[in-house]
Amino acid sequence: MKKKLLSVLLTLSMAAALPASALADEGAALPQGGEINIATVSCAGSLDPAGVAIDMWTEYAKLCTDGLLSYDSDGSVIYETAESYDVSDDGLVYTFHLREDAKWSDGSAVTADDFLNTIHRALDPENGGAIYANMLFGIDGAEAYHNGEGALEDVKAIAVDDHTLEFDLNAPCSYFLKMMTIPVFYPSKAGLATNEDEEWFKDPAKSLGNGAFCLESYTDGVGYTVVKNPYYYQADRVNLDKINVNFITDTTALLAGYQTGEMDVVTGLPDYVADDYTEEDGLFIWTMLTSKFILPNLEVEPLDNELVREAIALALNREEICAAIGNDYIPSLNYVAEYMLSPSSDQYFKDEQEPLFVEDQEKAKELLAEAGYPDGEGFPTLTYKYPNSEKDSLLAQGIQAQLKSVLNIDIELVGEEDGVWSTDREDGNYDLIRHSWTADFNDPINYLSLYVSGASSNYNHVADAAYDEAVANSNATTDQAERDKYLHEAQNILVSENFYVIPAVTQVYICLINPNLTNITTNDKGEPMYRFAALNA
Amino acid sequence: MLRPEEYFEPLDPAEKNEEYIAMESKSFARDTWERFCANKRAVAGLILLAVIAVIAFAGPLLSPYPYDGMDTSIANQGPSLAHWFGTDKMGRDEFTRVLYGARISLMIGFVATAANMVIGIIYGGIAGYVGGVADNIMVRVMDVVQSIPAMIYMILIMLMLGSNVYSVMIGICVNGWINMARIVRGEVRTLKEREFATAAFVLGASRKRILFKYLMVNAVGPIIVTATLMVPQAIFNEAFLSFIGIGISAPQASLGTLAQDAKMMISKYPMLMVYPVLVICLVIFALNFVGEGLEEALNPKGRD
Repeated sequence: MKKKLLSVLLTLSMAAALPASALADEGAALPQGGEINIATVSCAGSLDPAGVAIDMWTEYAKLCTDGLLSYDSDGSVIYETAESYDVSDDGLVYTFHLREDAKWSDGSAVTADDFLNTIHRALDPENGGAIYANMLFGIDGAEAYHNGEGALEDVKAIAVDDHTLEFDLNAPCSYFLKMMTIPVFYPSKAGLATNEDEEWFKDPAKSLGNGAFCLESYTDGVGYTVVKNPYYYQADRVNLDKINVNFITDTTALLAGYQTGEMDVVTGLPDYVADDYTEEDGLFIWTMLTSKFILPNLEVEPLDNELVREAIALALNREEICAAIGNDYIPSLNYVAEYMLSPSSDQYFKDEQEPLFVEDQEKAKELLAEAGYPDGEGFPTLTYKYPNSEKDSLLAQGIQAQLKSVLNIDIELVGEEDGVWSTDREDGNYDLIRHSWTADFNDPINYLSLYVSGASSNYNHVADAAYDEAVANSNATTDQAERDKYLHEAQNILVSENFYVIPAVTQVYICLINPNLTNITTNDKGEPMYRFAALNA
Repeated sequence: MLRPEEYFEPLDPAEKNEEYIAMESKSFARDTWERFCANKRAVAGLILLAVIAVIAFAGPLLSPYPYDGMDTSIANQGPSLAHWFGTDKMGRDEFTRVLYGARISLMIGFVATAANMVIGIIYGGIAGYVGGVADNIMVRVMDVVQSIPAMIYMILIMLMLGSNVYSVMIGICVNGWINMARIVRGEVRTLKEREFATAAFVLGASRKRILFKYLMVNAVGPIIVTATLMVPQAIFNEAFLSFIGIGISAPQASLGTLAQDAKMMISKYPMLMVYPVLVICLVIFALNFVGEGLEEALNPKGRD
C-alpha cells in the first residue's frame, strides 16, 4: 500500500457554506500585504501542542504550525511537512518523509526530532497537562511510558534520520493518517519548547512557527500577534503581513467589533446574526464536527428499558426545539457528527444510511404504553442535568416541555456549573444528562469508540457485545469500504437498536468575515483557514 | 412714663392654657403609623409595593398562559392585546413570566429577610445582653463569617444544593443576619444599662423576660428599619446570582433570570430586558422609600 490517498477528489458540498467572495481564487493576482484582526470567543488552553491544546491552539495552529498532513474541506490530503508517506503491508509501520525545505521561523530546518519533541513531551509521565496524550497510545510503548511503566526509549516513534519519521503501531490502525491533525502530532522546536519551561510558548524567541506565520508577541488574556514567516517554504503564497488575534469572550462586544470595522474576522457570534447578515456581508457558517445528545442512565429504572429510551427519542420534535434555541442549533438524528465525512465515499457519513430513526409522537406514546406507562401513568419524575448556559437551558426546557406534552412525563431540570456537571456525568449521578462530543479528527471511529465496554468515556456503562465486535471489526480491517460498513453497524446498535444514546442536536458556529478578505479556504472540520488570505484595499 | 401694669395686657380667656401642649396619648404603633403616613414618598412606596405584590401573587392565577411550555409558532412576538409584553424565544407569554418572576423574587426577598431577622435578633440580643467573654467570642464569630464575601457562600451553596429557590434563600441567609445581629447587639448593650432594666432586674424579672419584654421592645425601631432595607438587598442578590447564571433552575424564572435570558438578544429584542429590570427597579425603589419612611417615623429625635 504505497502513498495511498484516503480519498480522492470529492464533491465540494461543504464549500457551499462559504461566502462566494471568500472562495479560493487562485487565478487572479492577489493583493499583497495588509494586517487583519481576528477575534476569538474562547481563549481556553495554551499554544503548546503537548499541553492543553484546545481552542487557543486550534486558532494558532491554523496560522503558524504545519503538521505532517492535513485535510481539505472535501477530505483530500494536503501534504504539509510530510512530502510523502509509506505504510507497511501489515499496516503496522507508517513512515513519513519530510520535505527538506521546511523551515522554522528562525531559519533552522524542521526535522523529525521536532515532531518527536512534542510526542515525548506529551507522553512525559510528569506532564499532566497533555490532554491528547492518549491519542498516541496506538504507538508501540507510548501507553506504558505515559503511565510510568515503560521507558522513553521503548516508545516506537523514531527519527530514522533528520527527514524521516517512523511510527511503529501496536495494532493496525486504519484511521492513523486521519489522526495527524491532532495537536500531539504537530512539531515544536526541539531544545526551545520544553516541559521544564511552562511558559515557553508565550516567548516569541522560543515559540517558533513552521507555518505561514510566526509569533511576534503574546499577552496573557488579551491576545497575540503573528507576522509572516519569511522562511516558510510556501512564503510566496502568503499575502498578509500581520494578523492580530484578540480574545474577546463577550459575544455582544464581538459583534460590535465587527460592526465598527475593528475586527475582520469574528467567530462564535449570537445566533440572530444569521438573520441580519447575508453571505455578501460576510456571514460564514462554520459546520463544526460536533454532536449534542442525551445520555440515559442505563442503571436507573425505567431508563433501563429500551422501549422507554426509544419513546423519549421519538417523542422529541427537534425542529421546534432548535427554532427556540436559535439558528446555530440544527436538529440531528445522528450520534456521529452531522458533517462527518465518510471514510470511504465522498458523502457525509450520515447520508450513506437510512435515518437511524424517525421522530413519531404517536409511536412514542405507544412505546411508552407498551413499556407499562400508558399516558405517562406511574412514570417517575426524572432529572435532566445540563451545564448552565443559555443555549443548554433552552435545549433542556424544550425537551422538558415536549416530553410533558407528548408523553405526559415529568422531567426535573437541574442546571449545573460545568465542573459539577462533568463530575456528575462521570459518576453516573443522573437520570438523563446532556452530553456532547466534538471530533478530535475527521473519522466516525472518534465517536464510535467512546461506548466500547470498559472505555473511560463510556459514562453510562454501555455493555453490548455486538457493538464491541462491530467496533473491533472496523479497527481490524484496512479496507475503508468494509470499515465504513462496520462503523454504520456500530452506530445502528448504539442508536436505532438500543438507544444507548439519544441524538438531539448539532451546532454550527456563526462567524463574520470581512468581505474584502479573500482566498479563504475551509478544512475538513469546516473551519475557515486564513493562512493564504489576501486583503483587498 | 409707662406704669408697671401697662407693660402687661390681660390675657384673653380664649387663649388660656396655650402653653399646655401635651400630645394626645397614642400607642407606639399608632404614632409610628401616623408619622409614616405624613411622609408622602413613603406612602407612595408602600402603595406601589402592595400593588406589585398583589399582582405578582394573584396575577399568575388570572393569566391564561402558563409560565412554562413551548409554542415556537408564536415565539419572539412584540407586545399585543393577547400578550401584553410579547413572547419570548420559546413562545411563552412574557407578562406571565414577569409576574411569576416578581413572585419568586419577592418571596425570596421576604422569606430570606424574615429568617435573617430571627437569627439576627436572637444572636445579637444574646451577645449584647450576656456581654463579657461570651459576647467577645460571638462577635469574633460574626467577624469571621463576614470576612468572606457573601457571593462566595452563595455560589458554593448553589453548587452543593443545586440551583433552586431554597438554596438561593439559604445562600442569602448565610451572612445576611450579621448586620441585624450587630445592630441588635448595640441597642441591647445601651438599653441594658438604663434604669428601667435595672428596675426590672431588681424586681426579679428573669433574664429572658428582661431581654425580650423590656429591651427588645425598645429596639424595635432600628430592627424594622434594618429589615426593610434587607429585603431589596436580598432581591438584588438573587437577581445578581440569576444574572450570572447560577440562580434558580429553568423553566422557573425570577426577575434576574429573565434579565439573563434577555441579555443575549438585547440588540434584537431589547424590550425583553426592559420589563424585568423595570420591575426590579420599582420594587427596590418602593422598598427603599418605605424603609426611609419607617426610619423617620421610628426615630425619636425626629419628633417635633
